[in-house]
Amino acid sequence: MRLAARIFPFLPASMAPSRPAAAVILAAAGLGLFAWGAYIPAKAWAAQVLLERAWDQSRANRAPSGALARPWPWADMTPVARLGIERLGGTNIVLSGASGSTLAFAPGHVDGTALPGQPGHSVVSAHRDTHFAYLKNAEIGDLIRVEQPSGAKSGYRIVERRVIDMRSEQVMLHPEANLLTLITCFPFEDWTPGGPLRLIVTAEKRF
Amino acid sequence: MPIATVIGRRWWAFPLALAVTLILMTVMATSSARADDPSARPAVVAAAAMDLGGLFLPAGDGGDEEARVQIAPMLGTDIKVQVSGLIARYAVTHRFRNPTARWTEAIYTYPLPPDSAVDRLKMIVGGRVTEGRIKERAEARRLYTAAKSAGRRASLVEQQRPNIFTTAVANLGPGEEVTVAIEFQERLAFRDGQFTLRLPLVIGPRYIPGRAYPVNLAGGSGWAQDTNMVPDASKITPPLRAPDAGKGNPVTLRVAIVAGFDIGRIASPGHEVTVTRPKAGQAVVRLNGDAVPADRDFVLRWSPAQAEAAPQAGFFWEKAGDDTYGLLMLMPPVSGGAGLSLPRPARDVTFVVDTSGSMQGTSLTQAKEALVMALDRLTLADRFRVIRFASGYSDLTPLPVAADAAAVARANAYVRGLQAEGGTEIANAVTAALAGVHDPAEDTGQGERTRLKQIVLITDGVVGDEDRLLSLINGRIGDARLFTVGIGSAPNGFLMTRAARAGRGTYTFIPSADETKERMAELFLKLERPALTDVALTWPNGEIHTVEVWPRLLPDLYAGEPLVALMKLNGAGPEMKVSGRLGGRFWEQSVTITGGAPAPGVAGLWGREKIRQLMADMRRTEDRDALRAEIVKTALDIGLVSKFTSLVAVDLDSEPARPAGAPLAAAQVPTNLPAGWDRSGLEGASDTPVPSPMPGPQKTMAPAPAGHAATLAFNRADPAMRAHLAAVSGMPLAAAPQTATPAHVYMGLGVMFLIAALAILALGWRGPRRHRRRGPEGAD
Repeated sequence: MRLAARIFPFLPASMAPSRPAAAVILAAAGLGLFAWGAYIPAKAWAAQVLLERAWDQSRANRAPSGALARPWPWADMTPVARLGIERLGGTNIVLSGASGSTLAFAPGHVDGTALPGQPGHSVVSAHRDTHFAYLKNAEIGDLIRVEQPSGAKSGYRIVERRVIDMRSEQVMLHPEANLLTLITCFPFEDWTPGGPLRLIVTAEKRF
Repeated sequence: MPIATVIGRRWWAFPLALAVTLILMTVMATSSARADDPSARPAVVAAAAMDLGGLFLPAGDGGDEEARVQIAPMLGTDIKVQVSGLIARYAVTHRFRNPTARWTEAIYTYPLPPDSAVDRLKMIVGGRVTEGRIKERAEARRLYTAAKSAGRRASLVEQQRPNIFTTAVANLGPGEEVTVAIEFQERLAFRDGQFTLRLPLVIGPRYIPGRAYPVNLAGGSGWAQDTNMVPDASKITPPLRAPDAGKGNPVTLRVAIVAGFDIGRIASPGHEVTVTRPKAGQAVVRLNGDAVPADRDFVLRWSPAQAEAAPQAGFFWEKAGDDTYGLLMLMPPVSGGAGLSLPRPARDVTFVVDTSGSMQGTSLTQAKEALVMALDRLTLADRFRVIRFASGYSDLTPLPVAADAAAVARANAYVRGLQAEGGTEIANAVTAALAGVHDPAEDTGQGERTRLKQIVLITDGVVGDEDRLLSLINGRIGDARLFTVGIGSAPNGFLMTRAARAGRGTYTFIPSADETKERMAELFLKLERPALTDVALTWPNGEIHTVEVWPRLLPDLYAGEPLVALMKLNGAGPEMKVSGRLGGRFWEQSVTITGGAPAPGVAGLWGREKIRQLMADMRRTEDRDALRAEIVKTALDIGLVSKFTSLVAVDLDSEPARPAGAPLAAAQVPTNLPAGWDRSGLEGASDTPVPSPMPGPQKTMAPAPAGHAATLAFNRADPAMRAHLAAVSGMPLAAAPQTATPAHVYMGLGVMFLIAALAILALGWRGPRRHRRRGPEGAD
């Protein structure tokens, strides 16, 4: 009882649960929280597997550009590109729109910027702890390979890697240049989300 | 039932409490995250808004369109100048006010005289004074940024050009006012029979040549984008006030003069002033009205009541630590009397006149008037050439031609027909002028070697690639001489004076049309009379090795110009000799500096002159690190702001002003268009469309050819470029979304809960025995 009273001093002693009950409830809550947390990377990973499969299927079927197989029946976002850093291996399917719901599944293409691979300045962002975790090891000079839904392939060379403080700085757009900017949160080791820093990796189109 | 005992009658109480705790924790975690979350902030994108000179700031969450439009920081300037003989000490006070409802970092980019030695910074918030300290530039910025992030009051003064400085003030609360005072000194020279104080108050929008980089490498937030020729363009191009916002940035100004002689005429060509004379040899000058907009250079001229009373020599000294610093000014008598009796040498003069968009309006009229006067002065022995330039250049004749009546008449007609439009590509025109005077075919005739080769550059000089031009002039001047004529209400004093120095000529400023005649007359004397060359300062006992004199090589002295030298005496004696050559004859004068007047500030001026020389050396050498180190050491020793050192003030003693979590917006103070500038000269002059993130006058835009990024070569091995890349920041354009998940938080909390459950269980295993012992009483 004293332990419970110490945890919940505001509860009258009669209301305090006994120890085993507390343990059971805490354990249940703990498992629930852990599962809730683990669901996030699991969803991100699973979505990519499904997206990759849909992408490959569409390519194999020589579907007309843009008409991709739906990765899962109720999916309502459009894949706009496949993107990966050659040296670091692995690719991601980029979905349209960089809203929170999109980013849960895939890197999101920021609306209003050029599509990856297309002329202009394209901006893609993703979570630092899921799809863009590999940006931690991205270096100036690395080649980013981009595949468009049409099958067209292009390459961007990283020319800049920097961290900005979003409270005082913002990302620059240069529609007159052919650039691809990848944005993710920084630092990668940070425990909680919502920090003010962003890692900005900018690459220049080479082919 | 034991199980009933275990769970208790109020079985729901624990889950309820747990749920409440969880909700509280979640709310706390997300609210603190939300406060710093930029995605909650609307991105202000429109280039049109930026054209209004940064008047638009990202506003707070929600709100309708009206509420999003807020006003930039406001500024009032008060300037007090104390002139003692040859030294002017300035106290410039900027009052920043934040009229917005947000915490703001106010940034003001402003001009100062090109030789000002800024040595003091005071930040005053509600009567609380924080003194600035001199630090290396990167260190100062680091201290400032750390204080800014921590919510503390802080201020930073950086030099972008010798005549362009930036003051940043962090954490200015809604409706708050912060005063930032800087102090500096400048040496004045008795030149052309008078003293002139020239204090620029506004930066003429610079023309930025070169190819735009895709990112602003220098990290500024001006209207121009950094280019390969002006890699810090974003730092020297403060936004302009909106055309319909009227003039702003009011200035009050007071100059107190202790001249050291009876003052005759005192006049300001560009401003209405009130002059009072408390005593003989003293004067106090005030600007009329208390809200004079900062839109032109403040120029004040004063001269002795009797010409005989004009100062012929002066020595001022200051002891700082163990060292004694001296300032010597000497009017070589030859530049007046003896100089005038020498024959006028024949000349080849190339006039190079700026017809770019910034000259449109009164400036071009002035330039034409000056040019017509100069053409009128040519004699039959002279030859001349006229080149006009804007984005490109063209000339009346490809080489200098004899100044006969017909040629001069043709040139007059050509000059009168000039129109101002386009960019300011000075380099090509100056190169062409130098190529013309150095043409070997022109040098074969008899007596040609005695001709003076002169280039007269008439421009406002409002370009951002000063270093490139100065290097070009340094490298190609040969035996020609470059004279600059600064036109307009806000010329680039740094470029005009340094280009003349690099070209071994001299400079003239014509701030207003009614002074054209007077100033040009002074220039004609300098152009037509032989100069005192090979000027040297020597000590009889070889003490020159102990004395540190700046400038290292004394410049040629033209008619009406004094010798000015700054020295660290290191115990050298009072006897020295000044020598030189005038029209082929040797000239020498002994100077004894016994006595002299103690004058605070001489050490600072010495440091500034040394830094100026070392910066000039940097343009001539590839080995810049050693020079940079010496500049940093000099600046830190004497406490001066330079290209590599800044003043930073951080209020560490009081609590942070900005609450943790309150967002901070950066905003620039917009500046006026200089007086007499025609906005239409800046707009529509470029035929390339403006890329959207580059607001501001089109005239000054760097041409951005289509697809230029394809040819942009970032060299990752280039350390300078890498350093730039490391220091960049952005312009407001796109808002980046939140890009981290709370997965770790949830999983971590889950693990903690499981550990807690295990801990309770571990304790609980001993619990049942006590339960059993107390059982009989408990189980009713």
